Amino acid sequence: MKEIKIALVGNPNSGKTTLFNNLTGSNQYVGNWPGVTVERKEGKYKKNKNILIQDLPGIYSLSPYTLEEIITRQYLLENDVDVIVNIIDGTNIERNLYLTTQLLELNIPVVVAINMMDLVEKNKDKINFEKLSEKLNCPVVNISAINGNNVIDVIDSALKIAVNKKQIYNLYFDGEIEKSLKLIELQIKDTVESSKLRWYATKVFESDKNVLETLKLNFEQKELIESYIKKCEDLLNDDGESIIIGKRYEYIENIIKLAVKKNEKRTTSTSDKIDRVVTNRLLAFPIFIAVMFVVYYISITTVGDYLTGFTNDTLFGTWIIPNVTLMLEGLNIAPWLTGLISDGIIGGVGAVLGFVPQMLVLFLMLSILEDCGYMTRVAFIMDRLFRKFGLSGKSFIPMLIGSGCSIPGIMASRTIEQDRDRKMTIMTTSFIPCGAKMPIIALIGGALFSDAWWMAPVAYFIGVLAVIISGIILKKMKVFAGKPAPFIMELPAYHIPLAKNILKSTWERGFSFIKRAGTVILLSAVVLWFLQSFGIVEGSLVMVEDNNTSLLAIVGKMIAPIFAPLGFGTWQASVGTITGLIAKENVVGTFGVLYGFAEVSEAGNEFWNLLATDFTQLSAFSFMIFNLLCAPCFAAMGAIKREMSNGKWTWFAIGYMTVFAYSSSLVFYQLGMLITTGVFSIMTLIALIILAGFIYLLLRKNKYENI
Amino acid sequence: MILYVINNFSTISLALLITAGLLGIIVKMKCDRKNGKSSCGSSCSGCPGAKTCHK
Repeated sequence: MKEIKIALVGNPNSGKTTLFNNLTGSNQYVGNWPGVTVERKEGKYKKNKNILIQDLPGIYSLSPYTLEEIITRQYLLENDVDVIVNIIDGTNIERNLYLTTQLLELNIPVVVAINMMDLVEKNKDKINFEKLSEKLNCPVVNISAINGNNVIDVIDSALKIAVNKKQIYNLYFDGEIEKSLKLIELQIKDTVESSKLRWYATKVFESDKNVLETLKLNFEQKELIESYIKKCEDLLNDDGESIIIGKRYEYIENIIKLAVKKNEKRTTSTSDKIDRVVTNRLLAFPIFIAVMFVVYYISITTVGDYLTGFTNDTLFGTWIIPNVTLMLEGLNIAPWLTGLISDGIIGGVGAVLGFVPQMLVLFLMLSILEDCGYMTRVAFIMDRLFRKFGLSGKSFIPMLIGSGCSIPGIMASRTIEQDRDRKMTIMTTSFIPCGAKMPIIALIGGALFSDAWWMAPVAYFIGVLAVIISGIILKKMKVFAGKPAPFIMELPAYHIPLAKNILKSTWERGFSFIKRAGTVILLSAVVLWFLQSFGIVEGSLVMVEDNNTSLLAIVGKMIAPIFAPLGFGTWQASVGTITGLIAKENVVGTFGVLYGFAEVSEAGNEFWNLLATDFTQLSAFSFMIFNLLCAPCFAAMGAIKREMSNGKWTWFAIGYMTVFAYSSSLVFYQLGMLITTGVFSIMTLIALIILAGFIYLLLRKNKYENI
Repeated sequence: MILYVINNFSTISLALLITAGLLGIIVKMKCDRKNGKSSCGSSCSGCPGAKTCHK
């Protein structure tokens, strides 16, 4: 059997990835907000490996306004697609059919899959599939991708029409429009594939810049085409694009009248009722803040804390470390190797792994919020706030994704069309604490704030605040000036989260950390152990008893003065901050090695007690602020470089984050010292100047407001 | 020399084992890097831009 290429195309959040997973047995992430599929994904039909399925980004039309539209359109035009499966949200057929009318023009066989039939039935709406199929002149299948109902029928229908490559198109525009399209077709017929002639003609009529550039028409052709369009526009008193849009909707309206019967007795849905409260102008923000407080409270303080306590005290403290040490002693292993294994490897890796349960609970909570549809509302809510300082809710989606890991968050920023907004989003996404920063927050909270319940939520909102402050400051710079792009997003109906989805998402995110603990963190721990166990005594490299005389201490003491004004000028804290650039959870791993997690955890949380002696509550909080806001890990820096596609911008972004973090920590610590001890030093003065600078940058007039 | 090896057999064996493990990790990370995989804290299926890393 010849290989058959099927492309899944549909509006955002219509269920393409769910159908893709169902057909291919793949485990692609199904996000409950539009724009999750930024790049196309490929898979093979699980029952027939000759059927290749492409999951394309969700689009509303084939006009090249967004990155998703460009990717999908290019794929459909440049690849030999055998069948398009157009997934339509059954609860919103009218708007979804707009894309269908454009897909039919491509002259590629189309199967329309009406999805979310379970919701259609619940709403008591009626769809006449035969009529719909007759009017669209293509097979129409009703499915529920989420439940897997009738998904096989989609492939069966696709295989049947794949043989007959020609799509009989029956959307004809009346009178002058049709005449103009025919005349345009005559002008461009030699430059485009004959099967796509109609589609190109329509796009030329709409004055689609990308298509006009591709066609490379000569001056005479351009003049003629312009005259055809002008004549039609004058006659209908509208521009070409609007004329086509209007006619498409007229056509769709006629189909809807014949094939769809909406339940007129329908009352307000549960989703709408919830939204009245959740997205209410006054209640939305307090509810969001309360939800995030609860999420972080449960993750870090209650369930997460219990599980982390068990992992640290029982699993590592009672079971693993004493038994491993006993075993190594029994085997007569040299003390240095025992030290490497227990202090270095188990100490470093164990300190990080101890926080995995908290991370898993956090990821579980966030996955539930994402899957049920609440996070989509948060983007909508944040749009109101972000708009006030020049960003749109679209910038908040990368930040939502970034709460797991900054890298996919940074990558998700590519859906933002405006270059300046995209750059600003990239620069600020990693302010939102990613999962790897959770161990730092939990460690500081546990060691210095007696597991205070408010630590983690406060850390989250410090991130949000940093984004807002940066937005206000940066938008007043010429390079970022300008009105935010309009943000249009569908709010999907709330639904009970699917256990499979949330467990998969939680496990995948959590497993990445476990995997990293076994690779990057382990290697770092070994190197750190070596550097903190060896020192130069009388000109020779020897093992040292006191790590204050080690190689690491020498290097750390050279860096420490930089952080002294922030309150954490010890060499251990400085080394921790620097190693955090390898991976943020490495800060905790480093402390595990330096404070001897392995030796002391047998007696409880002594590792935390030792750590607490090197910090005050003020300096620990300052340490947390700096590590939350400063330059992200190297992998995230790589993502910034990729997305910025410019070295200068990459360095500007990293430099901005670091300077912002340093200034924030300095102001916090020095003013905190002034308030708590009354001591006024030169650093206090510098902190006050920086604070005044912040206030000036926030309040100064925006010269570029009207750009 | 032989006596030293015999006396420290367990230490040498374990040290070699750990060295092999660490080298294995380095090789794996190098391969991953060559294949475009970063030490990202997210899995590919959870990433909206997975294709960017794996061209």
